[in-house]
Amino acid sequence: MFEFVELTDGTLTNACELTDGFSYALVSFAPIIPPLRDDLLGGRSPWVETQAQITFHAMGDTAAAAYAAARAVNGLLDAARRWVDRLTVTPIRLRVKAQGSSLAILEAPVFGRARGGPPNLALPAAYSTTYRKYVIENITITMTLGTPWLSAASESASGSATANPGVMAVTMPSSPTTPGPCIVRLTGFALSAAKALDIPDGYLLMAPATSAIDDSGMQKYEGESPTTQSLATSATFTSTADATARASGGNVGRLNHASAAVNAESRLFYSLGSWGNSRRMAVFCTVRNNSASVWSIRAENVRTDLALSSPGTRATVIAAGPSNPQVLFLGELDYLDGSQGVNVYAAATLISGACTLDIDTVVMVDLTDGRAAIVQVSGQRVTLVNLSASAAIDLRVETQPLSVPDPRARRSSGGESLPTSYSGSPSVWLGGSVIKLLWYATHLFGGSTPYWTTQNAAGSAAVSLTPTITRQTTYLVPE
Amino acid sequence: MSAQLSLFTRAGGVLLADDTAILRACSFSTNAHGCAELRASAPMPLDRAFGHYDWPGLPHALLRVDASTPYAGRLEDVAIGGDGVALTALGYSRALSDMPYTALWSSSKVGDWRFLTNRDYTLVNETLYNADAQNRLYLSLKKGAVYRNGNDLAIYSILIPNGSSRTIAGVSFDLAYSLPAGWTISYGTANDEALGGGATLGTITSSGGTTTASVHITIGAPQALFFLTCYNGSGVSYTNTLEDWAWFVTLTNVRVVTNTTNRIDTTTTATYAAGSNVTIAVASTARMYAGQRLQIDYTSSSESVIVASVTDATHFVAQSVASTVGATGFHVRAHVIYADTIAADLLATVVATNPTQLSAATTLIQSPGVDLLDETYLDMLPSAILDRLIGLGDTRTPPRVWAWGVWDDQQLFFWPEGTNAQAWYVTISDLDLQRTIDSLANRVYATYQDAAGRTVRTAATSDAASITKAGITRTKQIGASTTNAAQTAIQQAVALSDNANPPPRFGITVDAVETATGGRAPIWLPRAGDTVTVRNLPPTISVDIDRIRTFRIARTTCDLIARTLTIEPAVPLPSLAALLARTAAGIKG
Repeated sequence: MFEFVELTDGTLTNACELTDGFSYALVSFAPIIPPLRDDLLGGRSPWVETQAQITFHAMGDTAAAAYAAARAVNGLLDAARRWVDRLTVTPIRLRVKAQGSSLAILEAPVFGRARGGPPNLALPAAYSTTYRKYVIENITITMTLGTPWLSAASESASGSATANPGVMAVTMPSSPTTPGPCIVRLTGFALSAAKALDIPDGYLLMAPATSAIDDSGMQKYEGESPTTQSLATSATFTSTADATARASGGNVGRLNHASAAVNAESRLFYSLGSWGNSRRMAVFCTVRNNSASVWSIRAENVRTDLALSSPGTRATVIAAGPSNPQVLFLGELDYLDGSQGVNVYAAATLISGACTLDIDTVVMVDLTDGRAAIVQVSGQRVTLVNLSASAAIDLRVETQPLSVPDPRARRSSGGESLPTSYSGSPSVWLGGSVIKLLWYATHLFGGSTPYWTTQNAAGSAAVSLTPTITRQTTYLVPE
Repeated sequence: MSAQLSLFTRAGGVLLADDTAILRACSFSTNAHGCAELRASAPMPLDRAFGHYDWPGLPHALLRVDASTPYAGRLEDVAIGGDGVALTALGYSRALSDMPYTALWSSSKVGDWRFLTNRDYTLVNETLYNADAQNRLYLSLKKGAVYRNGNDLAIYSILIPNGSSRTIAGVSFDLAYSLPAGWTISYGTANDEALGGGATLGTITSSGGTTTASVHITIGAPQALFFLTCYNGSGVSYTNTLEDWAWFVTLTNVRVVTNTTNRIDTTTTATYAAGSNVTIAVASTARMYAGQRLQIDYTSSSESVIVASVTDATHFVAQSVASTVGATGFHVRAHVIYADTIAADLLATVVATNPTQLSAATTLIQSPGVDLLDETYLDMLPSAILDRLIGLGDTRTPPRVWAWGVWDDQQLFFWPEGTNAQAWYVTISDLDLQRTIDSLANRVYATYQDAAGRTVRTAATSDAASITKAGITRTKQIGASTTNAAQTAIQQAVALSDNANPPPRFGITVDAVETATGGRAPIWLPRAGDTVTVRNLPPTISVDIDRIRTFRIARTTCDLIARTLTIEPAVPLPSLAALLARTAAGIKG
């Protein structure tokens, strides 16, 4: 039973409250609990859309008024279809409140009539002595609803400003077990005095530090500080200062294979400590090839207490340099017994010149519960003439099921918003209390100066980023 | 973890569309050439559908899951129908089928040479010479003919194919001649058969007797044509009073190459005596192989020897040596052409024309180490050339199977099959399996051509274990497009290794894959070239079952909607093979 059911585009003039007892009378509405998707596609909610059937009476003081009420519902369903087809910008929502619920009104986006479903029935209007109105009885509509139900209220929190490439943390007001759609916003990118925006390609890594993970959903290690190392014969590994190129922590780990055999691997082990419950993780690193040598690099999961290492990622070939610092996605590690660390193996497959490879950072993102989100955002190098010099630039990844049909990535400042190319699903649904974030990118500042980290507008220091997450509370049933 | 399909203007370009949320079908395949096809369809109104249809250029289709990229290709087909669009992207290996390629890389066939006529070059008088190209390039003076000084030339030449992208960079041949005193043999390069832009690289003046030499040259300014001419340079006219065969010039073991990257040029480091199976010490035996012909330059004389075996990094055994050598430091040379050099040039050619299609990086191109004596391509697609090159195997025993293709990074890989592969494990609930001897061949011989173009058949080689197991000897012939016996032997070994124990035909569809240690992996991770082990087969051990239990993947198809992965081994079920063939032929239904 519902005390409130309404179809609306958000305006009073286009709102059909099916429980108002004046223009409408609700006969039946039985919401369906959505299952998780079977398919692997993203870009939308993790739960399957449902087919909702609502039966109602349309009423009016005249037959014409009853028909107008029926037409209004039909018009909203048409509008919903156009919104799904990206022909209009105004979404249609179904808003409900269960009888006796203490929650605020819950909403779900309407994706139009069910494809292939029955059309609306235009029944003859007849005068009802019960309602003392002209009534078109038992109009049944079947529509596709987005899931889950969303509270109109959202929660928002910001983390501390953190110098790149520090892992940022946002502590949300609540700790829902059902993940909710998020708007993730990083502020701190800035325009130069010449109003030039220079943001590099990068990964936005987001992972909740859920209870399933002992420590954190994300770990970043300084490349020069592996827990243990086992080098190829005649190879060396040294912590080398590289503050000039703004290395994370000021130093990089320099692997030298000039005297080692071709294809001989050196192993660097980065311990995860107590992060033992992870079953799947993505491994990244930042590297710089300093010579014309060609390198091969791969990662492997390690369980130290079992003296077990499991199959690793495919090898990534680092082309002959010298090159600028670059972010490498080494691959995904999957394992049964949980991870206690990662071995990073590197070998020179062609030795030429100095044959040194610098590693600045190694990052692991836990993918175990499938709720981490990774979006690769394309960089932008443009002059924004309409903005004031040194204006703050945001990077946003927006999942707003109630207002925008597609999640998206944007850069914005004030009223100016730039659509941004991306890859990887920008549909970000995160649960839990603490959410870790990392903007993982190197930087060719001004197109010429290579840095390990993303730089500020002046190119004088690593940018300091502040994360903000706005999350809507979700309900699988309108309880 | 969820997949997202993006369409960009090009790789690294601007995002055109992200229709992931409305996709009704989405699957992608991988095969031996990397990313194969991706098919997706989405309902959308007609105006949006035409928007997709009218995208300029060749959009880049990128499938991303978290940070992984299971598929990248180019959007080749857009179809509007029903209530939306159907998109088909094909992997970037297709870029190697966008243009034909014409080039001569190496030729050791005398049939590729021409005896020029007066119509080619006015100083030639071909009527005054006997000439033939039977397993050699031969010319002799005719009895009674009068040869003017500096005129009445005889010229053998080899010209690169018209339109070829490569010019002649190196030549080697053995020379035997007997000419009147003062007669001259010279060789050089030119632009064409009229000897335009000709440049002389070497001249030999006869002092009368019979002489042999081995010539090995590199050409600093490569040109389209190489010529060798013989003429009267004595200063006065010469009338031949001897028989036709008395004065002659013979070229054997000719080889023309258009690349000298892997040329052998080392020096002797110890003395040796003439004889058979002579061990010769050199600074390096890199790129030497049994059967190879090496030229040794003794400064005042020269000879060519055949490598019987390579002992170590600084010694090889020559089959027969004619000279006793009391000094060291003599050059030992040979032209060598490897498949990786050709592959890199194919890549460079494609990138020069279509720079957005493939990366110019050659870091994934490895060398099989097999010297290719006869490689000439006339209007062939680079993909077909690569298909041929991977079939030539490598120097291992038995030779490894090679593969080429392009993955999501748009880099051409040319390496042994299984390079950078991963191992996966599956548990199956259903198996469709067929055994056949259709592709069994446990005895193989090869046909190839000798230098004269005559077809030669090698001695057949057999796999005794396979013959015993099958209870039958099935013989297969393979054609090797070369004049080189060593290269033919490698191809023969590859064919025997491939066919002596053919895998059974089968295919499986799974909804989960695991790593060796039991970790559950996403179904989009396995790809062609990886190996799959079926965990739940009966424990009976036989070669056949082992090839079912663990096999190399020839093709994967991952359906992101149904969440299934179909895995095909190297020999798929006939029905599937037929279906694929029909699809490739454009047959619908």
